[in-house]
Amino acid sequence: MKKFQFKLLLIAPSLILTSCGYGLKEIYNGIPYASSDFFKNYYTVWNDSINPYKDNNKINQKVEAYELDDTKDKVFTSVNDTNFDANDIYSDEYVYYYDIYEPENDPEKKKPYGPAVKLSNYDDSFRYGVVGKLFDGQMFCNGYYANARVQVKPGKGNGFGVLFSKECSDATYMMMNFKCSAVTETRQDLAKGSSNLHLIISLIYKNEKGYTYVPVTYNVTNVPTNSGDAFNSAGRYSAYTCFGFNLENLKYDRLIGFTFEYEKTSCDVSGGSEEVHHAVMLYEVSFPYTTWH
Amino acid sequence: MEQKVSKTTVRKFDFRDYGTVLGFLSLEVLAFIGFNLGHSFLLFAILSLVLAALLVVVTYRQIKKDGLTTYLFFLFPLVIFGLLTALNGFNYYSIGAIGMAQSIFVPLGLLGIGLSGFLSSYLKQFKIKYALLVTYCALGLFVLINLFITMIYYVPFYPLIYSNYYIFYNGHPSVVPIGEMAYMLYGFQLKEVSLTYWSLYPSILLTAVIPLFFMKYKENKREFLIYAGLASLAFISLLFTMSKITLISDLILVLGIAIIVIGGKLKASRPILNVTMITLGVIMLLVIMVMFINSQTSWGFTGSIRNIISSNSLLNRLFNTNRFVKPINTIFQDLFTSFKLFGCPVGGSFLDYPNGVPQILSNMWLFDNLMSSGLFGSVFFLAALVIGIRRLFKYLNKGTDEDYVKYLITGLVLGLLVISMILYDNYPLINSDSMLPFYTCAPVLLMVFFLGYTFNHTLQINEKPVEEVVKQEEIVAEEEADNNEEISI
Repeated sequence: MKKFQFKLLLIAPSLILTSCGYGLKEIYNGIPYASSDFFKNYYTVWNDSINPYKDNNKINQKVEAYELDDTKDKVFTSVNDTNFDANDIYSDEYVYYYDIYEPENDPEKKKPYGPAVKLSNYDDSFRYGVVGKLFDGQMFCNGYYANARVQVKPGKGNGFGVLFSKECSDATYMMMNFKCSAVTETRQDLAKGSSNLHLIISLIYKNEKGYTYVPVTYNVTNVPTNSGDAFNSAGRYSAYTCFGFNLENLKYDRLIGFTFEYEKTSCDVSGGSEEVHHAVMLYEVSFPYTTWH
Repeated sequence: MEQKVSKTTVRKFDFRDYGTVLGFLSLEVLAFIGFNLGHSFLLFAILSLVLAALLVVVTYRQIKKDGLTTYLFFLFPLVIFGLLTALNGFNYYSIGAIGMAQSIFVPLGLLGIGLSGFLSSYLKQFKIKYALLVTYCALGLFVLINLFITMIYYVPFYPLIYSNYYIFYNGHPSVVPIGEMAYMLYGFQLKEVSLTYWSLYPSILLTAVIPLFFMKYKENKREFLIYAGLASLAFISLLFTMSKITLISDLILVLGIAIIVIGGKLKASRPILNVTMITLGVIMLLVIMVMFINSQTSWGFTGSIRNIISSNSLLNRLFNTNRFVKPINTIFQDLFTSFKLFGCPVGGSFLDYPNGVPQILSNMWLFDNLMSSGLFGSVFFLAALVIGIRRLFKYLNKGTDEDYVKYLITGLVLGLLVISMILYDNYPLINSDSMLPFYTCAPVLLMVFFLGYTFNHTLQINEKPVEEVVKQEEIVAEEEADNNEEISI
């Protein structure tokens, strides 16, 4: 009996020891990054293991930045680009904008691109966390404002880094949909314009002992730029940049995450006498037609 | 030349020889249901039907017509309830409805498991104490897995610590805070379920404490320790996931277990307990009647009662404004319309529903049955329960099984019925609309099985005097001993 009592007493401590609070790592008391204050919505969360700016990361292999080549890497900055069709063999079946019920888009034949290729289609783990906004198939604001996007601050190290819980080894191309926003301290109703950006997207690959860090850079031009959270400034179908590139020339396997940073090269939105603050509003990121293990 | 003459003996084929196999199969089916394997009612229903069919073949000669006829008083209303439920549009049109395949198997599953419980009692090889042990161990394993998963994701007492914190799912905050969710082996995946639904299983498992009051440790070491372990596991589960709502349900459960134990141990206290139980029953009935009258807004003569209730702040809160009573009032409102009498007809439309609100669920089976099965279906279900529980009490008083077995079955049946009135959640999955109505939940099948068993057990007692029963048990024991010898040889 005493032996049994002893064993019984072990249940509680063993349960306490197994309590690692895995599900408590990202919890919120309220809705984060959805403030009416533009400056509070910058998402700058990095997974420490893949943060190149921290010493305790697990990146054991860093390669030189890979500059994307329009032709070789089939870079596209619009869905009307021929490179988009070259990357996505099913592109004819999609309608890019969400207005599938417009007369010219026969809903019987076409389906919205975002919901069709969203990462959460391929694995449930993409649904969790704030970055789940990027994997839910919602490519445009559609009146959801801060609830739909991840707001990225310009400058190296100011972006964010996501480590997935599963690996992928059959990614063919990467796609992301974004626009820019520009505001001043006091005004969120600046005239629309466009921005030129230097994108630094680092793909994180798993290797035997850690991670391989593969930075990919590209200068993207004429990114539609509107004001911050001002209602109707974006408009339901305002312009977005659908950017993407082929992954075949990056000879790495086991994709497990990515980081996103950018530098503002130029922006024609004027703030008058005030300094203009800039952000990339990232709505969707996907690696279409992939399997995750 | 010698010619060999071979002599072959032809053994007569007798289905009864398969009693041991079927006894084992019964335990297996109980284990699957107890473990909630795959959370699949369809699987349980099919297994039950197969088991029932095999039991009919094996026990065919033992089945007494009179006994079966008496049993039909329990089984018939249950199957009719299943049929009315299967024919109800609720299972087809409501959000996350279970659909046609499962609906068809509601009456069949109830028939299968009811017959299995009844017929397994005829098997000499079927020992109820092992059946209970297997069921509780399977349930214990299920609870243990759920507790481990939940503790891996969260920490002990998280419902109290993180009652206002949310996770992000699909780009939005979760529909309920962390304090109201837990992880469960659901189907063959780990999924977030509501904490109330999660707590249902350790609450049922907590009834494993009952045998400890009726068996002596020295005489029955192994079983005593198993039940003690299971009860401790249930206690730790409920303690680590304690929330306001589960605290109330736990207190009610502990009170219920105490009543069963006191009633069993102190025979002198039975009249007092009976009076207490009857009083509680009458109060509950009165409350339900007042709720019913209060919800009939179109009846002019109930106006004065409604006025009295609404003018008193306490009564108003009790009968009108609290979140538990609101759906019940809505369910009661149109009780005598054709939708509620027979349920929404298949091929009909919820758009025709009087309030335009098709799906009101209170998460209390007593009232939700009105939505899912109509008034008639609910009455049939209640009739089956009343007949079954009456037999259960008869079994408690006259059954020849060991005391702890009798009280454990009583605890399981009554515990489930009471606790599920508080803890059941028709939409257990947090991130899905899939519905799991009460009649498709595994513990209900266990309840029907054990009610079936007690039914037949009491019928067999009626047929034979007690001495004969004892004698027969001795013969069975001898036979078993002989069999064991043969096996050992």
